[in-house]
Parts: sequence; C-alpha cells; structure tokens
Amino acid sequence: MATIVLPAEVKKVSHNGHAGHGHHELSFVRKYLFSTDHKTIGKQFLFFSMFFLLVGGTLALVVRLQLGFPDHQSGFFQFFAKFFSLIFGKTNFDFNKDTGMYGMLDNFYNSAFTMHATFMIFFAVMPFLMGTFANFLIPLKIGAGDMAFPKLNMASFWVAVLAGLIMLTAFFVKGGAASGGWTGYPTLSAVPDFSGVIWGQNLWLISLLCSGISSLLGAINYITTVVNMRCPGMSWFRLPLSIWAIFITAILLLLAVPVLASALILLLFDRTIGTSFFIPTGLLSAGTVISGPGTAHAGGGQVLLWQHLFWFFGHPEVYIMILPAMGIASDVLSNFSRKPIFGYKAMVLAIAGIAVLGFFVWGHHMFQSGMNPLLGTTFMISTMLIAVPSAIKTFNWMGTIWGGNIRFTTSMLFAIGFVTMFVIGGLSGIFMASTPVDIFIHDTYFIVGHIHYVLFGGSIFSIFAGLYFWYPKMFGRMMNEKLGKIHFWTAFLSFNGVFFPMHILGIGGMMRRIYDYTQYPHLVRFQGMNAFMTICAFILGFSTLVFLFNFFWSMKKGKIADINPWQSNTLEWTVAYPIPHGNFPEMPHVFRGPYEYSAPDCPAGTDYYPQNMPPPGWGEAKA
Amino acid sequence: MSEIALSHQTEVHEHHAPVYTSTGTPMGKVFMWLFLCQDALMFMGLFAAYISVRIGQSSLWPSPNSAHMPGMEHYPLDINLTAINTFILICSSVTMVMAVQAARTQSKKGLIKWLLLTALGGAIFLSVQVYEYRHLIGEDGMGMEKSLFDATFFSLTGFHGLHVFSGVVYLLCVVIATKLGPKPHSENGWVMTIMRLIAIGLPLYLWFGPLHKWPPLPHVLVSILAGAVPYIIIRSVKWLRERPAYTQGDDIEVVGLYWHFVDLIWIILFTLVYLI
Repeated sequence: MATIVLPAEVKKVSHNGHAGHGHHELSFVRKYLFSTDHKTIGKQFLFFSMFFLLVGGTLALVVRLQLGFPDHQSGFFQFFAKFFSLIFGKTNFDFNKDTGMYGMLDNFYNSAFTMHATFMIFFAVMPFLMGTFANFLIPLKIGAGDMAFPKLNMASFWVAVLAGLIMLTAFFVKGGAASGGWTGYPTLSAVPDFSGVIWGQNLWLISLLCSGISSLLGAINYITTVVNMRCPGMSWFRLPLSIWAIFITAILLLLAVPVLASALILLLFDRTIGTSFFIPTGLLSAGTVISGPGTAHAGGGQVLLWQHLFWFFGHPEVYIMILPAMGIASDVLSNFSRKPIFGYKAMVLAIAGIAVLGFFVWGHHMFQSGMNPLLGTTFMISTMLIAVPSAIKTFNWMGTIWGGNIRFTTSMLFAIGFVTMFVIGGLSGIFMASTPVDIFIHDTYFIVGHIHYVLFGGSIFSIFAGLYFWYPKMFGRMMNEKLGKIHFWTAFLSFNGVFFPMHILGIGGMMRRIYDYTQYPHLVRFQGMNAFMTICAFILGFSTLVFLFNFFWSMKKGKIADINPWQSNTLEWTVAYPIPHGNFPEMPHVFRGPYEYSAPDCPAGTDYYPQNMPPPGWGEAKA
Repeated sequence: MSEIALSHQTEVHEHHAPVYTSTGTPMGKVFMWLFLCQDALMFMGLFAAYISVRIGQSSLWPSPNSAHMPGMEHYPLDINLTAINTFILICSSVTMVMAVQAARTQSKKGLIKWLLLTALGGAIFLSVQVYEYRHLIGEDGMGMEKSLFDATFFSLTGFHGLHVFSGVVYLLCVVIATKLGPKPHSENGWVMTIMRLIAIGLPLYLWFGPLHKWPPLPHVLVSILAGAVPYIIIRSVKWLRERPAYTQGDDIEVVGLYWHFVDLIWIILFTLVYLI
C-alpha cells in the first residue's frame, strides 16, 4: 500500500522550521511541566493515568490474593503477601514474627477494594479517556491550534494531580484509607465509629471534590473547543465519532459531576462540622443510640438521599467511561476494516440517545434499597431502553467489519476485543436491569463480573486500542506489534479467566466485598474457582507489564513512524511528528467525512481519501 | 504573548481581528453558559437535598404556616427583611442590564457607574445577610449541627452568598479594568497600587491583629483568603486589560450572565427556604 503524500503535506514538512512558534523558546518547566499545549497535557494525563492504573491494579491483586486463598496458608499467598507488604507495610498484612507467616487485615482488605475502584474509575479510566484522548485528539482532529482555554486545561491537569496525591495520602493517615466502598454509602461513610476510618474518608471526599473540579474544567474546555474551534468545512456531521463521543461525554460530565460535588460537600459537612444530612435518627453504635435529640448527631437525615444524589452522578459516570471508548473503537474498526463506519448518523444519535437515557436510569442501582417498587419498575423500563442504542452501536460495528479488508493489527485486535467483551457485559446488564432477577443477584459477584466486562473488557481494551493506534502520533515511533500481540492474547484470555467465573460465583450466591466467604458453608466449594481466578488475575497483571515494557521500549527503540502509518483520513495524520505548538501551519480546510475508506472516488492507487484533500478541480473552480 | 494569540494561527500577528470561531459566539460567552450549567446542577443537588430532608422531617420543620403547631410558634427567619434584600438584589440586576446597555453604546462613564451600582447592590445584600446570620446564630441559637433546618438554611444561603461575593469581586475587577482601560499592564493606576498594598497588608494585619484569638484553622484560612482576594483582583484586572478591545463589550455581557443567574437562584432559594 503506497502512502500518498499530499501537496499540502509536503509544504507542511518543508515549513516545519517555523510552523510552530519556534521564535520563542519555552523553558523546560513551561514546556514539559506547566505546559499549556494540549498535546503535552494529553501526555501528562497519559502518564498520570498509567501510574494510577498500576496503583489500582496492585490493589486489585491484593483483593484477589485474599479471595483466592482466604486461609492464607498456601505458598502462592505467602510469596505475594510478602511482596505486597513491601509496598503497603507489614502491619496491613498481619505479619507474625514468630511463625514468619503473612495474613491480611480485614480492614485493609476493605480499604483495598474501595481504593481499587476509586483509583481505577477517577484516576485511571476517566483521565485516560477524558484527559489523554480528549486532550490529544480534539484539537488535532477538528483542525484547531489548541484548546479554547489552554490555561484552564493546564489547571485541569494539576488539580487532578493534587486530587491523586490527596487520595494516595489516605493510605498513610491514622485509621487507613476509606473502606466503605467506592460508592461511599452512609451511614458507613458518615459516622466514623462504624468503619474506624477517620481522616481516610475525609481525604477521599476532598480528593474527589478536586478530581471533580478537574473534570469540570476539562469538560467546559472540550465543549467550547468542539463547538467553536472546528476548522472551515468541519461541519458537525464530518466530525470523527471519537470526537462526537468525547463531546457528548463532556456534556455528561458537565451535568453529572456538580451533583456529586454537592453530595460530597454535604457528606463532608456531616463528618466534620456535625450536620446530619445523611445520618438518620436512632442509629446504634455498640448498643447506644448515637443520633437523634440529645445525642452527638442531630439526626433526621436520609441515607437514601445520598444514594439518589450519588447515582444521579454515578450512572452518567458509567457512560462517561464507556462512550469515549466506543468512539475510539469506531475510529479504529473503520480504519482497519478499510470501510466507512456503518450508519454514521445512527452512531451519533445512538451516543446521544445513551447519554440522554443515562440521566433517567440511576434508580436501577437502588432496586434493593427500599425504594418504592413502582419507581423501580419505571427505572427498569428506562434501563431496558438503553439496550436499543447500544444494540444499534454493536450491530453497526459488526456491519463495519463485515466484508472489510481487515488488517489485524494489535490496535484492531483490542478494538474487536472491546466489541465482544462489551456485548457480554451489556447482556449481563440486562439481567440486572430486570427487578425480579436483581432481587437474586444484587450485591453478588455477578455485579462485579458485569462491571469489569464493561469497564475492563470495554473501556480499558478500547484505551489500549487507542494507545496502539495513536502512539505513532504521540511519540513518533511505532509500538512493537509482536509484543503487542502477546499483550493482547494474554490480556484477553486471562481477562476472561478472571471475570467470566464471577457470573457463576454470583449466581452461586457469593456476595461481593466479602473478606472471607469460606465462613459460609455454601461458598466453600468456590475456593478452587477463586484460586483459578486469582492466578488469572496475576497473569492479567503480567500482561500489563508487557504493555508497559513495549510502551517505554518503543519510545526509544521503536520503528520511526511515517506521517500516516495507518493510511487514515483524519486531520491529525496530516501533521508530522513532532507536532509544533499550534498544530497546523495554516488552518486546514475539510472537504468530506472522516470515514471515506475504499470509496470509489479515492485518489488512484489508494483506498483512503483524507478529509483535507481538495477534490479534483477544486482550486481551478476557485480561481 | 497572550493565550489568545496562541490559540489560533490567524491570531499570531493580528491582535485586534476577531478570533476565528465556528459559530460566531465569543469563547467567553460559551464558557460562561457552560459554567452556569454546571453551577445550576450543583444548586439542583442542594435543592434536591433540601426538599428531600424537609419532606422527611415535615412535622418538625418550622415554616411561616406552622405557627399554630405546638413547639413551632416561633419562625426564626425574618421574611420582611429578606424581602427587602431580595428587592435590592433584583434592582442590582436592573443596573446590570443598564451596564450592558452602556457598554453597547460605548459609554465608559455610564458603564462604570452602573457596574459600581450593581456591585453596591451585591454588597448591601451580603451585609444584610451577615446581619441576619449574626442575629440567627446569636439570638435564636441556630447552628449547623443543631438541626437539619439550620444546616440546610446555612448551606443553601451560604453557598449562594459565596456566589454573590464572587460576583462582587468579579464586578470590581471589571470596573477597575474598564477604568484603567486597555493599556499595557506596566502602566498601572493608583487603584492597583492600593490593591497590592491590601494584598500584602490585610493578611498580615489579620494574622497578627484581630484574628489572634481564633482557632488555628479559621485563622489561617481567613488570613489566606484576605490576601488571595486582592491578589485575584490584581491578576484578573491585568488579564482583562490585555484582552483585545473588540472583546470588551462581550466581557460585560458575560458578567451580566453570571449576575442574572445568581439573582435567579436567589429567587428560587427565597421561595423555597423562606416563604413556603
């Protein structure tokens, strides 16, 4: 396949010297640390989220270690417990000096699963999708020089760093990190007596507030940029689907995060200045009433209020984490199938439909909370409706691949992996959406399996697809395909090894967030299956190390990338690495949609038609 | 080199041509609308919490209509005083409209006059609110930890008051920037010199002076805030004065959006918290 070099590209390459703002050299600090360049901020978010992916992953392995070997006797447990105790301290692993054996404190186990979810959701997946990809791709794909508000963009990153540091600090304060689950349900989170966690939970709340501010700054920036900075000819229906998805996700962030912020502030008030928004009257602690008239807490608050406020944010949050992943997968699938995306407008409307419906379904997280059953039924119906746009997307992806000239690159494999895993996760979602089934499976490992199929098999696989795809534009080199394929197959197989059995465990009655399930006779038989899952989890962790090695090795030793290594149509592939500050030497002009692969009018000898390539005779007509 | 210059290629050498936008709407206005969207949702969260806990405790909740119920004869909130305060805030919205009008007709004098009157309206509103708080805490013994009625009252009005306070600061920045005009920032007027003195002097004075007996956390926070506000004003004025001349009419409209929003929220809040 020959790469066509456009006349415009030749000009750009030759003008590279002064294409950016070479005339004012930036200091190291302004260039790499407090940079206002969207590409640098995108990369900063990339390293930020990779770090927290590792932290969250380590915590996941801690959780799996306990679940796989709750008796703490096996050599596997002892070996890894010793290893993890180097990170988290020997006290948390209940080290016995006399026998030399390691165990695990139940409080630490609670902190581990709480912080695993918190890190993965707020500090890994969200910054990956709405930090890294949003920052890096929006201006490049819509033909803008930078974000609308570059300084806000910088602030968004550094507030996120602050949030991350606060969250990490929580491990080192007295009482340990938050341990009430990532949903922070009161009264467990509101009354310190119940969990023993004092400052850990406060830091959790403050950190999430900071992370929320960071998300909001980002969201405002992304929306303004997409609305106002599209280059001439880039009409709404010529935007790549990744940009559509990020744009709609930014709207979701804008409307969902403030509600979480208000709930966090109220909970912080409950914990610090003694209000009772979420503390009902008549709570018992160690046999004495601790809330209501004449006690420490005024009482009268509502536990369900938190759940409503939290899930009003929390469910859109789920779509915040999957929609950009869908957009990335659409771009990758179309490119490597060498076919236009099937049903472009339907895809856009499906994203919008999911986003709108996403605000009317939060109650399905609360079917068993004591909410009015009639209300539960309405939430069940609205939840089921989401299957329609999701199915539209899934069938369109299959329609895109169908009959295509497929190139099985690592990126494509991950995108296909995304679609298959998302389907499994989506189907298990339908089980939980129906209230009668949910009575049986709520709060079990079925839920854990479902969320990991959509969040790991869905979002993270798509993030990997995107990283392999845009790595050449980010770092100027190709990632190693052989290592990439090892990464994909180990990740894909071990992923299913960890999470598929969770459905069986869940239906078998194993509850989630449980420290030692073997205390229940009906769960003892699941110990072997859990041990298998734990071993798969460690393989999954190893596969991520393969990815990290590939990532950093390719930065120095990878094959130098062409300007357009995947023969893609969109604007980011028209500028050569390193892309200067200001991106485009002159404002690009867009003539067509982003998915013109194998179109009959493609330039001779190629199967793609770049968005900015003038149609034949365009310049003459103008003259 | 300012941010605007870097944000688009056409702007590198041309400072005073309008920035290219796809829709023709200025960036600042899009920003403010989006900011207000998220702010509205934040207030919505608080209102939802208020309505929810109030319905949950409806038999214990003092209201103007509960005077006949035993134990709730006394309604602590002063509706008349707050009605006057509401009227002042609405009037400040009118002066804000006049300010936007003055900006459209390029009347610098009128603009400064109306903006100052708006800020004055906000300041009076805040002073009355501080008076009300002192009265409620001192004489009625209300406090965040006492009951949910008190907690919701202080959270909602306090959060709104914070918005009014930010609005007054914002208005003052625009007033100073308009007064000084779009000159190079090295040429500062006496206003900025005073602001600098306040930014250094006020926190030092508070730290060693009247706050001496306060508990450590509020002591530190108030001192920092006292220095931060003048500092923010200095930075914002500098930034506003560097803005290209053609954006300055839009900037007034953007302040207006914020001010009307804060006004609108108060009308909902006044109805919910005081009247019903």
